[in-house]
Amino acid sequence: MSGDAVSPLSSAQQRLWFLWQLRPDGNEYNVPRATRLRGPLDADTLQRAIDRLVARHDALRATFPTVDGVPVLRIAPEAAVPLRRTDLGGSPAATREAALAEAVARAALAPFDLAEGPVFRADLIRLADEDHALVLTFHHIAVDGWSMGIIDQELSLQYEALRTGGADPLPTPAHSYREYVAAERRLLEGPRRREALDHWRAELAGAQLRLPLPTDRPHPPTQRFDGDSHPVTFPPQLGAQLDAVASRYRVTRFITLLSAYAVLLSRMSAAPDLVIGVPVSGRTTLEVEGTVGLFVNMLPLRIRCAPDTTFATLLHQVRDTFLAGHEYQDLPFQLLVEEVQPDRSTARHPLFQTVVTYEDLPAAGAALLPGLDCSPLPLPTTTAKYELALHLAGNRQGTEGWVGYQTGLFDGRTAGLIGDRYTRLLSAALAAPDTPLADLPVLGTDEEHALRDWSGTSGRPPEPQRERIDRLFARRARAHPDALAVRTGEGSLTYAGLDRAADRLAAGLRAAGAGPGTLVATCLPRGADLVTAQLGVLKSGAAYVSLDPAHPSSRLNAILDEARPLLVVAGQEPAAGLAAGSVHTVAALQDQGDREADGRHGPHTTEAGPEDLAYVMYTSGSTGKPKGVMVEHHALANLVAWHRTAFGLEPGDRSTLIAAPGFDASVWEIWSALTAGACLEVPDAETVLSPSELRAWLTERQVTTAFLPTPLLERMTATPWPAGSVLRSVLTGGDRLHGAGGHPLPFRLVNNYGPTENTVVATSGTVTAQGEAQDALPGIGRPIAGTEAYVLDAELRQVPVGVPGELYLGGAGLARGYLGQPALTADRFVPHPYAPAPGARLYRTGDLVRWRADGSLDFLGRNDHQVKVRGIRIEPGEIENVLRAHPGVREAVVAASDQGGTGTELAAYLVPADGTAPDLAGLHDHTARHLPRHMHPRRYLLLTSVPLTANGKVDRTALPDDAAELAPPPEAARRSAKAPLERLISGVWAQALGHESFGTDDNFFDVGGHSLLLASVRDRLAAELGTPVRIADLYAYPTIATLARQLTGAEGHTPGPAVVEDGAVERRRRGAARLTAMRARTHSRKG
Amino acid sequence: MFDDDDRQYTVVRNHEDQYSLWPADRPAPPGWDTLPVTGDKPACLSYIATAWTDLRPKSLRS
Repeated sequence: MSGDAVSPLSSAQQRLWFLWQLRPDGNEYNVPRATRLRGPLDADTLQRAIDRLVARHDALRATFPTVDGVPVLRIAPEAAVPLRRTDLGGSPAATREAALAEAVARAALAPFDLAEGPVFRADLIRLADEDHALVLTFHHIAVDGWSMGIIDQELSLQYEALRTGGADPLPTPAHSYREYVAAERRLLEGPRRREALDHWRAELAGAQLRLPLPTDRPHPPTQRFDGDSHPVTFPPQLGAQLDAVASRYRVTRFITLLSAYAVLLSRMSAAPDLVIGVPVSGRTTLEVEGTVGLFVNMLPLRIRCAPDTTFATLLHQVRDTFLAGHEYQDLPFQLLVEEVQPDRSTARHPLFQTVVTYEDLPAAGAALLPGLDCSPLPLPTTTAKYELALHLAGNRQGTEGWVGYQTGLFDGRTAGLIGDRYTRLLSAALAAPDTPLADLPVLGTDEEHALRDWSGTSGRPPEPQRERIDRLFARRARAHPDALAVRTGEGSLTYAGLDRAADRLAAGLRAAGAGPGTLVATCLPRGADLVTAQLGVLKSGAAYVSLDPAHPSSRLNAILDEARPLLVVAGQEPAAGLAAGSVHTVAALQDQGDREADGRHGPHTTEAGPEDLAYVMYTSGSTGKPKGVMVEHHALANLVAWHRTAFGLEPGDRSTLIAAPGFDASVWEIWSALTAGACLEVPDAETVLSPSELRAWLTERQVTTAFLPTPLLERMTATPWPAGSVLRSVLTGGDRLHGAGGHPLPFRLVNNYGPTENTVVATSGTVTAQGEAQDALPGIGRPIAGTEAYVLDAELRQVPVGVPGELYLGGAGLARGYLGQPALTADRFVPHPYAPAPGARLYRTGDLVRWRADGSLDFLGRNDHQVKVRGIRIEPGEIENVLRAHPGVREAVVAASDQGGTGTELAAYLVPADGTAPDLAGLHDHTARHLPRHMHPRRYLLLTSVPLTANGKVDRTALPDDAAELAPPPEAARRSAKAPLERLISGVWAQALGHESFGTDDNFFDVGGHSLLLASVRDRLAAELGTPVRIADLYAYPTIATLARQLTGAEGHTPGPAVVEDGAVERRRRGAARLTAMRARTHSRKG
Repeated sequence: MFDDDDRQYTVVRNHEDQYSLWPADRPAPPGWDTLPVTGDKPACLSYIATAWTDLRPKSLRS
């Protein structure tokens, strides 16, 4: 060891040494070469040739021990690499090839020990006297691709010279690797380092350093290197075409191949600006051209694929980028990473995640060892250094290629598709280099056929249900007059009874002027009256506007102002503050109808058809006004026909009305039940708010099909489903579903997606346990019968499987448009470029989705800033407009943030009108007057100005996380809980809300509370107090102070349920006694 | 395609007298007639706001 030369490592070696430390048993940096040698082999001569090779190149004699904790490059004056012999001559002929493959793999994949060495192994496997396999395996720390060319050539020459008794025919290499290491150090200590860093920093400024590749599986938190490769097939004429285009545009083959790969990636990732890793030899001086060692360096090439650039122009751009980068290739990649992206996570490769390699193949016929028939042996790929790689090799005779991929991210099938797409795109680009990049093809005909099939355009005719909903109902009423149609806690209605009640109402409405083309609003809670009223409206020929009486009157009035209905059907006590106008009760209208029963205004209309409107549903609108979506009868008929077929709904089934009347899920629930002959079971308001009570109710009512909004469902499936359920199907939707809860469910769980503009449901799919096992969120299924779904890029082209795009919907479920808003309608409902029939429209949803390989869709999020809070679609613009109307606010931006456990919450960023912060309580009052509860911001933050993008739009990504929060009143001014009962409630709130920043006069819903938390508050309070607490009270008394007062005076004041079982009465009484005792103690303390 | 501030659009109309817009440099899909109204998106939409007075499909109006 005394003669060993010791020096620091080269930069590239340092990086590989570090990676080896991370994974000493890994083999992703093995560089094997396996060759089948047929003919008379002289093994001793081969050994001597290898000895000469090792003697000539110091890198092959290197080891990397640590000295004082620092790795050093130690080069021994001599080292032996003995041929390790394996003899498979004795193995049975039938299994010999398999044994060979196994022996080759073993030799090629065994890990190296860099500290001890050697870094180079040679294995000779004997199959027969004149049939051998030679496996030379190096660690990448000692060689690179260029080195392999030197090794092949020298081995061949030395073997030939030794065989014929000649001396070493080769001159000593001009430079040893050690000399290169020293030269690199000198360079990096000089001005060159700064110059090169400046180049790369400028080059990569603002670049996207994490390419959003369309992987089959999500990225694990730590990158895994298990890999495989898939061959790419090129047409035979490609080599000649490639040479022709390359020489015409004065670029290399490699630049041409790289450019096509960049275009493919930009299309597959929806990323027009991307960074691809490209290896360069790193041999910048002639002296090292003949030296074996690790010189190769990786260049992060930034390539911009603007859609209107032609391929020819791109070739020149890529060439210029490459040449500029080539100038600075002597800056080691490792140093660049430390400078540009020092905060490396282990999840992704730094700077780029995909590479292209290209090797000029020697002309056919060159033999590794002269006198022998030499052919390369296939080597298994079990690792991949990069997420995705394109390896190419070629000569005049042809081009070959492989797609390398990490198996944790991609399936082999996908890698095959990527290879096919590359060949297709490259061929088209070579055939017509003046084509704009946007027009180069990516999809093959097979893929296009599959997409057309999945989109619902081919093969599946829409349901032939062009019928009015009230007529579909009437048919059921005639067939099963005595079947139950609606059942609530208070009573029930048969089909005949409901039919009659609705007829009477319809006659009254017609007397008031209702008919096709008119609107009638309903402002009723869930229940029999709501169903009667809406059916009555449809029977009259008019369309209904469903309002939720629980919404603030200013919002209801805003909708009424906009929709201008003929009249409003409301309960005995219409929602407080409903602008006086034509408000009628169901009973009054029925009486009116009875008076008209002479037939002058019969309930049935003959002039109404399936093209007339069935309902107008208001959703949050970005302009600040709610927008009314107009849905026609035939679209609704398509929905209920699909529902009946998909879930086998028929007479005898019991389904539910759980959605609030203001949401379109209620449309789905009501009409799919009543047109199928099923019974609509309606839970009371209290039951809907408690997941456990709702589950018990579903069982008690023997419900067979239910719709449960996503957040509610997720709470209900968090614990094992109780026995005794006859549920067959549970449908969910409205928000992103995270899974089926982890417990076996005794029913089919179906996830649904759809905007109001496509009549409630657009896509639907059963959630399978298998889908869960794949570690991905459940998808949103496939388009329902009659609906077409397209995933399109910004130029309205269909994107390949796995690639994110905007979802466009068409077909039978499309709404007519937005009531009274032609411009908005024209903007959202656009010409259908793939229509089976001319003149059709598509609705652009603004939702980002992607196709899965099985033809179902994954929901990825919004591509604008619309948000969902607890399943309800919200346009921040609507809240912003309300806030701007507050006198203390000049500008407002509302954004949503995911708060993990407590779900998404809204934050309002305000620019005060006169520089002083508005009063928080005043803001709460203001929003409470104008917006429903789910639209109230949870937090208010102050800005001095609104951040804007370059084109003057609000830059939501630049909203500061740490802006000053509009604080609740200081503790002194704010009443904190003093009384024991208030303190008890306060403790329960704090547990449910996850914070304690509220006072006794703060509204539960203004400090982060929402309806889904009420059940747990109720349960905890009940447990603490030993007395039942009603959710309705928590609603009605939303502050600690009012709730405490209510609970203290509970007995005799709260209208309790009509019948309470004895135990409950007893618990109630004891609870009241305890409260009284607490109050007494408080008083005595005060006294 | 439809949210591009720099693009020029043309107002288009189908057989049901439904209006929409389409990039001016591309042929409109089958069944859509181009009207002689071209401009940026706000200009096209403000034309539509006045021209499209009855959102019912033409077949329903008669």
